[in-house]
Amino acid sequence: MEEILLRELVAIIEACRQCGVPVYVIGAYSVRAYGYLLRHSLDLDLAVTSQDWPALAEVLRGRGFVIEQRPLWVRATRTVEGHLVALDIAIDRVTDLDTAYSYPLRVEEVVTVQSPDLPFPMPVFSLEGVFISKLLALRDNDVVDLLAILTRPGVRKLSPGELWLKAQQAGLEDAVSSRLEELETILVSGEAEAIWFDRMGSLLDDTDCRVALTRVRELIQLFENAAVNTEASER
Amino acid sequence: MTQENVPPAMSPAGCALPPEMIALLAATSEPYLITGTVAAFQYHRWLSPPPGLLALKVHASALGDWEQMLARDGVRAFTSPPSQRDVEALDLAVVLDPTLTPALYARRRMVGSLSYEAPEDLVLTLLARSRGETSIAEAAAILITQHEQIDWDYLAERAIASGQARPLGILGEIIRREAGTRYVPTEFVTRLRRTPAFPATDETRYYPLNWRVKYALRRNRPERIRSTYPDISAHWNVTVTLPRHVIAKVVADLRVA
Repeated sequence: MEEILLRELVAIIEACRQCGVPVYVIGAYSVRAYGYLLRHSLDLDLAVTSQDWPALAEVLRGRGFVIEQRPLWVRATRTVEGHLVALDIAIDRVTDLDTAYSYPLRVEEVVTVQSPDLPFPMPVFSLEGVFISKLLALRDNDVVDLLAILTRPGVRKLSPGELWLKAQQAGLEDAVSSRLEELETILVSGEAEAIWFDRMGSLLDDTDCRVALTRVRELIQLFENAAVNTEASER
Repeated sequence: MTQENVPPAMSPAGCALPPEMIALLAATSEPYLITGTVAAFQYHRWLSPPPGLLALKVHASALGDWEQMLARDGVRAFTSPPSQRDVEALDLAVVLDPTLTPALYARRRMVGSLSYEAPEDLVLTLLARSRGETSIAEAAAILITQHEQIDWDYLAERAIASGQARPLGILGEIIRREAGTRYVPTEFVTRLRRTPAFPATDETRYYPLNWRVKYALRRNRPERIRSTYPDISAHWNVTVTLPRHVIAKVVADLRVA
């Protein structure tokens, strides 16, 4: 099934490239592009601006996808070799259904990343953008991905300064700050281990937990300091 | 043991086990059941199991034999959950769960030459081990995809006997709400609802007692805990806190609503 998904993804990305349509791979496959995905996923998520959506829709219809409007995104489905391939497409913003936190595409440029375990480069958000979109959702899968980004080598390291800048450009400093505090609580309370075990069937290593907690606390501190500095400069 | 109830799409080829492990399991005369996420995936074909990990239910008396049988390059048997770093260092980590009974084994499902825990038993295994939202979602996905094959009487009996009537009943009602009433029989939910209530502790007052609930309780702000399904909460005298997106995503992905 994963092979089919990857084949579809490659074909869509290639068709978009040929048409000059900037499309972002988001969700699990963007985490995978940066070399941080420790789980498997059958979810394909894309994002596109409203300006480029008609062109992407044309590419998808051309490949036999049926497009269905959902409240906060568009779902495109197609059956390939008896398997349903479903794409969820965010337009202009990646919005979390529960909290309505919303990360705007306008703060991102397409970054093309070659993951060590994928046969083709993927157009994705910056790693900081991936981190913020996962942090805003903060579901079990997102917690697993965030901990991997904080503790594993990956293709590149998260830049705290860039993270603040992206949050600021998106107008999400408070939301990100509050979510970082929730992530800290999850780590301190032992809930991270529970979530990890439930999703991965393995135990989160103590060292990884400590490293993640240290990094989260550094980020919380950075956001507090940056907020104070911004306030002071505005005065 | 039944084979006829297994959907045709389910084949051992669909699972992520290395071929030599499939061969070993197919050849052994020692009883076992594939359980956990690998078994769940065989039934729901929804959430991919994490790579490099296999859970087997085996007889407690056979633990040593299994450890010996599995001692080979890149494979290691564990009698408690391994750490993630252990899993990543191996080709396959096998977690041996010594709770196999003759009754569970008799109910096994054969997929090709491999033995899987029956879906009813697996649903209860998943709910019992649930510590986050994933296992609950997987249990829901199995009930939805297998609803025509599920032995609902057996499932109710086992749930009541194992003290899981309430979580399973709540999940049944949520599935009926999110996916449609045809996926879980009315009588099943009614029967589970008749089981006596548990004493009210945090563990039983909120379902599930997830990090969001604990976060609010630790801050002494229980008023911030909102029920995600108020009417279902009232049926079970509990605050249901399972975020709506959890089962809604299963339903959307399985395209059953």
